[in-house]
Amino acid sequence: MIFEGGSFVKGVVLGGAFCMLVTLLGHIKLGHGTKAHHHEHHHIQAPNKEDVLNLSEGERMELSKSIRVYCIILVKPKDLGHWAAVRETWSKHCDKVEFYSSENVKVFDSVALNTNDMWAMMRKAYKITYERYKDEFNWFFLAYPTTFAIIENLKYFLLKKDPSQPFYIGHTVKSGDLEYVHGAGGIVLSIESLRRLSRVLEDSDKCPEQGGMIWKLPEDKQLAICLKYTGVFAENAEDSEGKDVFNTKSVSALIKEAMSTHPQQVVDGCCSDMAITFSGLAPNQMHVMMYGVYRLRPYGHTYNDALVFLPPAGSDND
Amino acid sequence: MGWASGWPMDMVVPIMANDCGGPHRGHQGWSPHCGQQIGVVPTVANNCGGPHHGDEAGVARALFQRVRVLCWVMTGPTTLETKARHVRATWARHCNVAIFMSSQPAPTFPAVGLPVGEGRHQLYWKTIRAFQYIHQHHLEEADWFLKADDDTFLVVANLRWLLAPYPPESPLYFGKRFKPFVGQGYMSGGAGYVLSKEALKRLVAALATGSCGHSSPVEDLALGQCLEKVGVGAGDSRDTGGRETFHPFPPETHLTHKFSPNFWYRSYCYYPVVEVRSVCVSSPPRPGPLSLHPDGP
Repeated sequence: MIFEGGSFVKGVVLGGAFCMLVTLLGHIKLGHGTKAHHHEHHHIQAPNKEDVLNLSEGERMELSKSIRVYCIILVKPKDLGHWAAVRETWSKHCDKVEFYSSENVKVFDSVALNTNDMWAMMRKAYKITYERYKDEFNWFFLAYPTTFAIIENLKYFLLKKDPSQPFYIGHTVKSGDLEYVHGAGGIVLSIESLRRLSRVLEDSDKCPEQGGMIWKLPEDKQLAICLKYTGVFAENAEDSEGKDVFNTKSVSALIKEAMSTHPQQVVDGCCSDMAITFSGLAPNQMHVMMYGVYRLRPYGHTYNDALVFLPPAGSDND
Repeated sequence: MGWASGWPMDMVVPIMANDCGGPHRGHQGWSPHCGQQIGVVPTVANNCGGPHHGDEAGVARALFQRVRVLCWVMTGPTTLETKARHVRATWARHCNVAIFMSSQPAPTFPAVGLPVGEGRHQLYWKTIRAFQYIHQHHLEEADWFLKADDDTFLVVANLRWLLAPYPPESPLYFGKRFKPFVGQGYMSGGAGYVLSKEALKRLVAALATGSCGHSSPVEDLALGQCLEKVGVGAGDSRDTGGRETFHPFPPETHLTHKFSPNFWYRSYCYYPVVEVRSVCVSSPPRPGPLSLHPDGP
């Protein structure tokens, strides 16, 4: 009896282990980094300066006004320091910004999502956003409170892109077959993508609330999977020199890297002149960034930008 | 004193397209120091206050020609490659002339080896020797002579804006003005300070005659005392909005930190300390230090 039971148990164990192995392998990233799969990447570029200059004054005005960005910042009470900094600094440049919090916090206004799980928070935030704002905005920017964003550069980047097309833009990462926008760098969705997303969120087969088979996938990957089902693919945003404009690291971190990879060209090599985001900043660093980006000016240099994107009327920052 | 009226503001040199006209063109380099021939000019790839990707720098270029600034950076053998190197790669390129002053010669950097030791107690000696060296070898190359540390960050274009209305023939110097110890105040060493050509001449002359000496190792204070003695005026470097332009602390501190009521800084500042959270809009000159960490621009 025991002998027979022994083989049965062995069989079960072996079978179970084999099954786990197969599923595990299915999850593991094949290959390292993105260089090997470079040709499969989707890249999307900033507009050409000439294209913009060729527009008439009237067309430029129209364009400046027509791009409206709604910002979603996903926060939790533990992020209060960063939340305060974002609130006081760059988020004032969004046409509208709302802080979607896991729970209500006395100090600041927020939209309470009543869940701590990042994917659940993201789902709810996008759902609420679509319901409330689908007719008011054409672009939706989601960020974490450790991210610093330059909304004017975002608007410039989106200038000639048609929001009725399904755009899903940011700093992309390849994970096996899946290319997704890394949350830390900020996630941009056009209204069309948001529309498709809000539908697929109802589909519990394709886009379940508990994502992932064995263990949970991070929310930015989940988002990519759901969007993929609707035919929306992630695109990596770059400037005219091919530099990333959404960054998942801070300026200091990028400079450190530049110092080791190309020490002769640190500042030029590190980052795009029209960078849109940096991530991993401490609250104080956001204030320093605001000073550096919006206030400090070298006398005698003028920046003849073809367009002006002003922060909303009445916002009392820079 | 007359300097307010004497400076011909309309004397703008017409700038040709890419002609920086900086002193590095055809310049021979320094005269041999300690027997070493240094063929390379101390300025590294001079940027002429130059334009970046599409910004218009015509005015900055004009000022580059008209308000010539020699920057000397106080450094040492141990911080040459960790700190001074980043100064060299960044803002020093915007000076008309940039010279790195160390206690040992480093011809490939390039840095001058002054005949001094290292350490806080040697700071004033280093300063004296540096100014003497510059007076001897580079007097005609600039109108203004700035001292900075190797952890100072300077926006040179804004410095030129500050200095433009003053003739270099006036005995004048600018910096972060402190009030104690010296009647007219003195300039903080850490925040950087800049002397007019006349101020430099008077300083060097006083050192030669013994009228100023190595009175103390506290560089900024001793210098301030000497300059007051020889009739060099302590200028007001605040911008048109009354805001300070020379900063002795890193930007993060100035932008976010609340100084306690007893903090020494409050009693040292010559002008009232104004703490405003969001200071609006561009007020041009903002030379001043940023702690340069190895990862910082």
